Amino acid sequence: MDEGTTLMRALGAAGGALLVALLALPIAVLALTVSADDLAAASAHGLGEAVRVSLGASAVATLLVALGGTPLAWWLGRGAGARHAAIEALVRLPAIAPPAVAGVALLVALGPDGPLEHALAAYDARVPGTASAVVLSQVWVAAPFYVLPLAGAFRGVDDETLWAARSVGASGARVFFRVALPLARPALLAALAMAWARAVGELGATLIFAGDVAGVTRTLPLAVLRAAGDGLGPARATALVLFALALAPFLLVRLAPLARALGARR
Amino acid sequence: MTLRAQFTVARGDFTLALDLELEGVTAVMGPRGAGKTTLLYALLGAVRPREGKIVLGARTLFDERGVDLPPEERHVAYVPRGLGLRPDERALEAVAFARRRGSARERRSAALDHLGAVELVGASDLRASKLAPEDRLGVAFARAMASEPRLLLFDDPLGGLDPAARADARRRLADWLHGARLPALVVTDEPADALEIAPSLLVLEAGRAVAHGPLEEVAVQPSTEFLAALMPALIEPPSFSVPPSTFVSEDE
Repeated sequence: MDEGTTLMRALGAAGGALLVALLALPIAVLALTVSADDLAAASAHGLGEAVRVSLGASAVATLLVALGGTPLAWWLGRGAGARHAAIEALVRLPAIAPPAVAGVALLVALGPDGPLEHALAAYDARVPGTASAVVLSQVWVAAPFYVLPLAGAFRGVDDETLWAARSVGASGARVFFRVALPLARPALLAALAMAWARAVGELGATLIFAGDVAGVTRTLPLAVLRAAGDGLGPARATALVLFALALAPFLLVRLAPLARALGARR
Repeated sequence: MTLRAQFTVARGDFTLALDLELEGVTAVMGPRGAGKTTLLYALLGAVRPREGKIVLGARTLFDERGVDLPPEERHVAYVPRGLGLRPDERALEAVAFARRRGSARERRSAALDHLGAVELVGASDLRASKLAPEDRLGVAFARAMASEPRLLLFDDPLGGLDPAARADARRRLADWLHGARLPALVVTDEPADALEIAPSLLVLEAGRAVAHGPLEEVAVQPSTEFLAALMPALIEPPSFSVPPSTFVSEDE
């Protein structure tokens, strides 16, 4: 190995280690520095209310993403062609567009003077500033993180297995629920956890489209923002709660197979 | 039961054109890209022929003039290369999946009977991923039989087995197929498989049948290079003291 290669390797290792430290250190410090006092202060700032708003909105948003996203992922994963490529690009869009852009776009589309305003007014419905706006913002941001990985998993299910199931008497729908979905289950659960994490963490679009109304639209990220104005103490406690909430399904998805494997060994 | 299939399938640049009448167990051989899998796909209803007619016994499965039964109504059980079992599914569930009618209890008891027929009752509660490859083939066979098939299609069923297990699995598969008394197509790369399993042979090349008939007749006059290479193995069956996989077809 010549000196250049050695140098490159050393630089690469140092750069990689630095990045890992940068990624992990703040979370570690956050987790280690939160005190009971911080938590009490955060509670006084409406932490409980924000948890309730976040849990409700993100549960509905994740459910909506799963309901619409599963058939969409199936369609994307099992087909190919220009139409599929175009729809896939559209689904990817929210993952690329900055959340602030999403908030303004949603406000323009569904807000006063928007094209849908009259249709909504006919039902006496108003979206901006309501809990529905929170849910919509979260759906917008979370959808690609569910649909695209799941489409990839469906793409990986081999045709032969599906045809074999059809040939022994199962309808297309039965094959989907009894063969394709179970085969894609690990990817589906991981994608669901990811969508949940994105939904719970959504800040920018919610702030612009839904506003900051305590008990209605003030989700945990908004509560963090507000608490930060009153000092780091309550902000870091709120942030840690938010992190735990975002992370919980992820840990479940990752640890459940491990627990099962341990159980099976016994 | 007789299968009469006269059809043309086009997939991209490739065309498979056949006019066949099959009874009993037939081995299907041919170089890669000959159309073996496409033939199975057309029979089970996964690809739609451009023209022609497929009749199984008294039932028309496909007719260019407006009949195209969906796979689940054809009673054509297909066992693919990877055997088509969900790795996490238990053997009993996998077989019960194929049962077309009855209560959950009836399905289970029928599934147990089918597992019994391949001597795998003891494996009922095992997941497919935990089964030995030859037992996985048994479960796939039981699943096919549970679906009340009138035609069986196997795509290289012994392909995943090592030589030692293969000879034994081949014998068992031959027994099961014999006992099933159904027309069956078994795609294979191994002349030894064809010799033991099937009384007749269908050889495909580039989307055409270049030979079809009882083994001893097919072996007489090789008309293509592939057939000429195949013949020695068919006329002089390799002794089972030697691993039967010494023959290398163009598929490898």
